[in-house]
Amino acid sequence: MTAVSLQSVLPFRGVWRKLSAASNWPILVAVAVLATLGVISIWADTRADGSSEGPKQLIFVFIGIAAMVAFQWVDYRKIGRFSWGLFILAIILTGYTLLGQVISVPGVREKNGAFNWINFGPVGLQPAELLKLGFVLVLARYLRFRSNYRTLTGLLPPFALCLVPVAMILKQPDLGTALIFIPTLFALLFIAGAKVRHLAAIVGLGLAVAPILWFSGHHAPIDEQTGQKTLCRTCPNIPVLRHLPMFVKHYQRQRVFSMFQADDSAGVATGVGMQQQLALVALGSGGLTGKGAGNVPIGRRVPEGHNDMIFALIGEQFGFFGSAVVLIAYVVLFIAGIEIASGTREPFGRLVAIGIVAMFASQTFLNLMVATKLMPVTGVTLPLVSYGGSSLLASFMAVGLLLNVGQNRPVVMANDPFEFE
Amino acid sequence: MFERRLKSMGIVLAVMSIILLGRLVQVQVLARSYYTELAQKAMTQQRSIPTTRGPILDVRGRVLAQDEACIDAAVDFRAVTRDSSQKAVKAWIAKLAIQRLRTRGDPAYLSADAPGKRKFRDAEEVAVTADITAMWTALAEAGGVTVDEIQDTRTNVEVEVRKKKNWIVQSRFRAALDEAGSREKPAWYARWLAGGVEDTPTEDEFDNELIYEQQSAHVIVRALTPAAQNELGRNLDKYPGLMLQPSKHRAYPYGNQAAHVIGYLTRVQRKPMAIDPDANNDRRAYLPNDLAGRDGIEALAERQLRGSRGAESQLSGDWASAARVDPSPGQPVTMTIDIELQAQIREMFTRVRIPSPALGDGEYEVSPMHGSAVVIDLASGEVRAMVSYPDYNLNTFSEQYSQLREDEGNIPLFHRALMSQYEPGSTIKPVVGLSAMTAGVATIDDRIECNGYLVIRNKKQDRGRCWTLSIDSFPHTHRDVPSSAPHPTGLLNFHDAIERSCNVYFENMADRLGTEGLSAWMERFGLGRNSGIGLAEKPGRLPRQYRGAAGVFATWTAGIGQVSVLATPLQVANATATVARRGIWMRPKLVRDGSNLTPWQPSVNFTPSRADADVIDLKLNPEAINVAHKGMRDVVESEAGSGHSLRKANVSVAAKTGTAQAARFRYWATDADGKKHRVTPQPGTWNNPNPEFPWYRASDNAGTQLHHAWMTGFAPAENPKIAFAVLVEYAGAGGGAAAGPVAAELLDACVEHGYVPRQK
Repeated sequence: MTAVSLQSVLPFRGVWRKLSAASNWPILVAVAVLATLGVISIWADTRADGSSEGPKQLIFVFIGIAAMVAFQWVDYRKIGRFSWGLFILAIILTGYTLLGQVISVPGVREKNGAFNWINFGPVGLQPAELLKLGFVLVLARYLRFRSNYRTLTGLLPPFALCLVPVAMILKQPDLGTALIFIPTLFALLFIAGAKVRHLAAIVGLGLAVAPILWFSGHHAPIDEQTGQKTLCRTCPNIPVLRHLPMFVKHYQRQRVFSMFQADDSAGVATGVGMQQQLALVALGSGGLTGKGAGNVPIGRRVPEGHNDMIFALIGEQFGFFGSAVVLIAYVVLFIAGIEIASGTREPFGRLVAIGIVAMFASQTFLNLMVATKLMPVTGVTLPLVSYGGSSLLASFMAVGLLLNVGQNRPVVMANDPFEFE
Repeated sequence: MFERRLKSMGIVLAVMSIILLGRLVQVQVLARSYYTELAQKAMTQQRSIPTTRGPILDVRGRVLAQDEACIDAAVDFRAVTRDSSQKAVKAWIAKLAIQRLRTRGDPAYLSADAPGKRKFRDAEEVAVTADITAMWTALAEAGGVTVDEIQDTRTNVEVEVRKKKNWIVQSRFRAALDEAGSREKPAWYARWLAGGVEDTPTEDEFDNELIYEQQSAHVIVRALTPAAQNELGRNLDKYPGLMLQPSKHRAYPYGNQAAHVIGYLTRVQRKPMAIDPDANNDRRAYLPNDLAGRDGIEALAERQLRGSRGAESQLSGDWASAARVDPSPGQPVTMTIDIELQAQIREMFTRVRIPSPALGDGEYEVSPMHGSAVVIDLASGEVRAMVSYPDYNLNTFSEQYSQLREDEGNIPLFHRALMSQYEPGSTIKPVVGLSAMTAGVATIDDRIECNGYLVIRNKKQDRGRCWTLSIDSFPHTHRDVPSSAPHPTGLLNFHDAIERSCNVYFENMADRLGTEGLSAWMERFGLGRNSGIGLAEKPGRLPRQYRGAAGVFATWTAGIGQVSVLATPLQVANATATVARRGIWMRPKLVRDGSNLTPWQPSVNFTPSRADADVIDLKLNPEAINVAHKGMRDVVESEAGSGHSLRKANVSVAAKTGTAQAARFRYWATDADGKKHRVTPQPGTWNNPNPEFPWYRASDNAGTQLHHAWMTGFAPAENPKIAFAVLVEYAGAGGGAAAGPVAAELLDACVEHGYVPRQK
């Protein structure tokens, strides 16, 4: 499994090798398939005047490809030295958006009820995407040589490290993105070698606390017409817990409830349930072979159809075969990533690879479960497919890193790390 | 171990993928037909095609009411609504502002940067709002109404849209509730996750979407004149949200004629919608903005007149051929009224000849008077004319409604023929007499002495005198009145009593029948109950229902149609018709072939008659009928009769005059501040006319005696074809003098239109 770098005299060969095109074509094919399907679907999701975000997405894809090439050009260990710097930068940028909630700062504006974006003129940046990547790098860097996370208390620093970005992102508020951090953290800890029972205990603790989080607080909105406070009947109002702040907001509860409602006709469902319901109808009406590329009569009406719900559009255009292809492409990506992690002995590299896979996987599965009404709406995009410059860029950079790890496998003569038993 | 952990992670990923794959199979493979169907439903756009309301025709086929094409001025709801804080309204105004800026193509705007463009947009939004305000004034001018009326229309539109929104939200919510109720309850963990709260849907979810009516145009001014169309059409860009839409409106070619009978249309009300038997029929159910008959025949025949909408559905985005169901127009309804006859009679009320002794003996003045006239065709029971004056123009009804409603002096909206209850006075005497004869309490030869004073069972009463006593200042009896044909003995039989309209005779008859007997008989003749004609009517009053203090005296006066008896002009006409038909009571009809008309959507106060049959034979004493007919002929033809004014009609007529006491006229007027104050006008007298109330006349010079004048009868006398009743309110003279000439002209009109053969 140790790669021998064949330094060829022909610079052409070196470039080819650097691009890793020969060695990891499954990843490249998967990424190409996903990006293509994404562009097609976004192009199909036309507005009333016939325009779409398709051209923009195509440009982002090219920029992303360039970023991917850039991130695999330099040895990942060199990039790894800047992990903390990247992480701190991302924290600062996220903090900037939070500042924009309190006072009015240039570039930060509310969009869809959250402060996710920093606008530089025509271009917008989502610091949360950067933060995800930075977190993976930083955590991988932290975990690569330590051994004290074999104890329960030793797990505290990684959790603390996770807490900061999660809390900030929750404040934006962006529950979906915050949710991704948890599985990524657990995956990294698990792979790095933390004891299973410790992790299980933490998970158990979390599950035990969850009901308190769900049932705490009470909702007393002000009635628009009478101007008085009324008690919302769908939100809990339990004697002791009602005095805590409400952790799960009213609209989030509505999303949970609507998920348990029947798949009734798209004509009747309105409001919260409509998005998921229409997405299902779009998916389902695609049938086995879909309606053909560019044909999304239902998907066009799904809110965020080019974004969070793009899977519905793919399903509508290409049917079951198309959705299966998407799923297979992601699975190929994940397996190739795991293969890369297994193929290298370098601890940082392994952790980075696993972190990236975990990040992709949790986001992908979260999005796909929302799109198929297996989970309440959370608002995460489908990596490599959904519209969005920041998301696409961060995803391509992550893929580039992954390829980087797969391509630069240093020869290690010492003991295999991570072997404790 | 690392490898093991990697494998575990791989397994977790594989499991997730399989779950997802399974879900995809479930949705896209197994349930694909279900979702395809839902997709079809979501993509299908349905549009309804408006229909035409059936026309209303008169008995000769003339069109009385029909739909006519017109152009309406409609305004987008987002401009109509006053709630400008709504997001949808703001977004619409912003979009309009941007559109206007773009079409204007101002280089300063186009080259401005983002904040500059924002400033332009804000200024333009203000301009749009100002233009909307100016538009209301322009529309008021175009429609020939006041700005206040336009504002009222706006409020009505908002209210209706809100009602429709609530209805939709409610029905969707209810549908979702039913769905939730009929579903199996979700598993315990699902319920637990959902916080123990029922997972039933809440109303809020359905409230956020805009309904169609909140984004479409609503009619503010109907049926624009061509000039108004041009004016508005030329400057369409100045009026945000204005659209000129082709539409239909109800035209009434005869304007004022039979206004109360034909009825009018208003926006459908909630109660009729609630009991609509067609509520589940998509093509016939009422939509909140629909017009429905509110009164008269429009309401009575609503189900027949109302057409079915058509429907068009097309698959959006696919442009497949649209499936179309054509609208079917409403059915025509033929009334029994002859509109030309009605118009002629109505015109008579505008120029009634009132005797005016002040101007000289035999002199009269011409004045518009309030009143009512009914003509019934005897063979069929059909009503040939039902006039109520004053009336109103159906074409301008909605614009003038508030004015009409507030005109408490004239009360033009009041249907006097069916709703106004008067004392029938002497017109009821044939009925009383026939009842007594048939009941067997008297015979046609019984003679009763009348010397002016009421003597009942050999007791002289201090009230209830005959009218003979009130002529001049010294008492008269039938033995010397009228001077040209006094009664030889003063002992009157049935014939004489009718001819001379003797009070004492009939008061005795009433006494013999008793309150209950009299009431029962009067009821058989149609008094005291609704006739069931189909429009809103008042039942009048029978002696047994009288709650006044007069006691047995009330029964006696009931015999002369006063104090305890009340009747509407229709009831008097129909009672006379029963007499003319020799005792056959028939339900009066307004619609030909109207047997299957059921007023499901009741016009105001309609209640069906208690009599079940449409035709009832009262089995009157045939000899008494002959005598009654003769007596009524002699009212006109003999010297002793009181109806000489009918002699000049072109046909022989049998009639009965009547003079009913009238109450002082008082009403509540609303002044400019909206406060009400009571108005008690002075009746005009011969020496002191009241030009403000020319229809309000006293019968004496002191202004204390107020009477309504009746004339009822049938013609031709020997072979009756029609029966009629004429009432002139506050005539200032007796029945023969004031109502007689109107009746004579009415009969001439009937001859002219062929309902009575000409005889002279």
